[in-house]
Amino acid sequence: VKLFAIVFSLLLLATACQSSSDNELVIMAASSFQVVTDELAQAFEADTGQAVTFNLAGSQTLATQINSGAPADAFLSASAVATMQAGGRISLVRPILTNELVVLVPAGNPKQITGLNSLSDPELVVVLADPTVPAGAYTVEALEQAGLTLQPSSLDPSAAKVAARVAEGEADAGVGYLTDAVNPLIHTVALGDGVTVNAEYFAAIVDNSAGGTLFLDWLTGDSAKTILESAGFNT
Amino acid sequence: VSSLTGDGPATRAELGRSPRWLLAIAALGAAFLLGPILLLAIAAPWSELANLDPAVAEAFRLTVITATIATAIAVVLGVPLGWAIERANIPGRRQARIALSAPMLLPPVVAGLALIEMFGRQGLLGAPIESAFGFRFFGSPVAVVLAQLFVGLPFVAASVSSALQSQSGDHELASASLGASRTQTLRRVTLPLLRPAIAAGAMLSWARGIGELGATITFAGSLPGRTRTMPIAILTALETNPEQARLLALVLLLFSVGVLVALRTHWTGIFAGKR
Repeated sequence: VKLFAIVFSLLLLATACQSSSDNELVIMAASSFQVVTDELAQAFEADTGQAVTFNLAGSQTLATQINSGAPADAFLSASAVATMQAGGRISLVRPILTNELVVLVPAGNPKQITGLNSLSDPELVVVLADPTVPAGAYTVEALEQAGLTLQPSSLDPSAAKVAARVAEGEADAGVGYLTDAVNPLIHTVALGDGVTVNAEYFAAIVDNSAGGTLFLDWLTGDSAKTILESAGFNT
Repeated sequence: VSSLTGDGPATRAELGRSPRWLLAIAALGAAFLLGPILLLAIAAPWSELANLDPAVAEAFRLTVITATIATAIAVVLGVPLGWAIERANIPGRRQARIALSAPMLLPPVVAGLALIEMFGRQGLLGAPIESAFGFRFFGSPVAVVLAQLFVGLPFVAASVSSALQSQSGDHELASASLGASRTQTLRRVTLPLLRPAIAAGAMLSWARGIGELGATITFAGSLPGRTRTMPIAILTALETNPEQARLLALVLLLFSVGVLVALRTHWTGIFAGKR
């Protein structure tokens, strides 16, 4: 019995690790929002006095979490499909932002890449997002527009992984989002040759949460817009 | 031990009697470990098994081959390493022992970053190797093997060194006093004594390699047919096709457990026969 008490109190201790306030809003946000979550949280709290926390993951993973009952007030998704798959708990789905698809290169562009066309050089190590994730699907669309076939060295499960490889210098180039350039180790080059692809982000309210509504209304206001635009999002 | 096995089952049971509460706690632990896996198995869309993506077979084959190679190398390197940190007459042996357990404590993603520092395109060895031979680890199955070896080797070394720790070394002394050379003693006395520990370490290393995700994706990448192992395929499928991901996870789990159970039965059979 003593041992059970110990195990039980250890588990209780673990729950104590979660952040203190229970009235904190939970925003499920696609990984690409990572670059702005700290700023958004600070500005939102300053404007409304309401604390907010972001749960970042791939849109599909978030949809699965919402479906299985995870606590959430709003959902910022990088994919319309994922938004729909979040199921019956969500309402008021609307497009909120776009993010331009670009070529990512290490700072200083050592291989002098000028656009998507440069990436067909077999000497280059090119990484792309897997076609099954949103960033990869947009990449396929861009390559189709450009009429190109590439030989990537990796098809990564997230846009963030692509950006990380470029930042580490393991890849000479990748295809990702304009917002990835928030990382000073990454520079961006336009796709070029008239190819343009914009990723579209959707917002939805979970369980008709009043806090979620408050957050999404705030997100379309001026102070949020400034933060989002300075990161490279198009509002 | 021999007196126990020689006696009838009644004596054994009597001697092996332990407090009931110990069994209750053990059951709780087992339920915690097996419950979620059982639920996963029940929830998996088994009917989909026939329509698995052909890329899955590729990922499966890659995973098994790389993990097996990595384990073979882990045994070759890990047995001498485990011996050295326990028995070798070298300064700083204790410190080396602590340092060598560090890779087991590292989060795998960090292990991947460490491997990039050494074998990456700008790494200490990676850069000269690329310029001399035009070989790049990133995107190559060799990198997958290195990642699995990095996380698996400590298991072999630890298993061997703890086995040596519990052995007195008297057998080796006897062997040497009877005129055997060092290598003879190693081959005829030390290694046979270590065989169960080596087998256990190899199995842990192999299982760890089969499940390796963080170090592999960070260091080797995720290229279908080259570096996309089953765990990476599962991670990728989670984003788009969670049902498929569950199925892949179970296929991998059943296979690994099957292999380990088969090997264990085989090995214990051998040892029982020898004794």
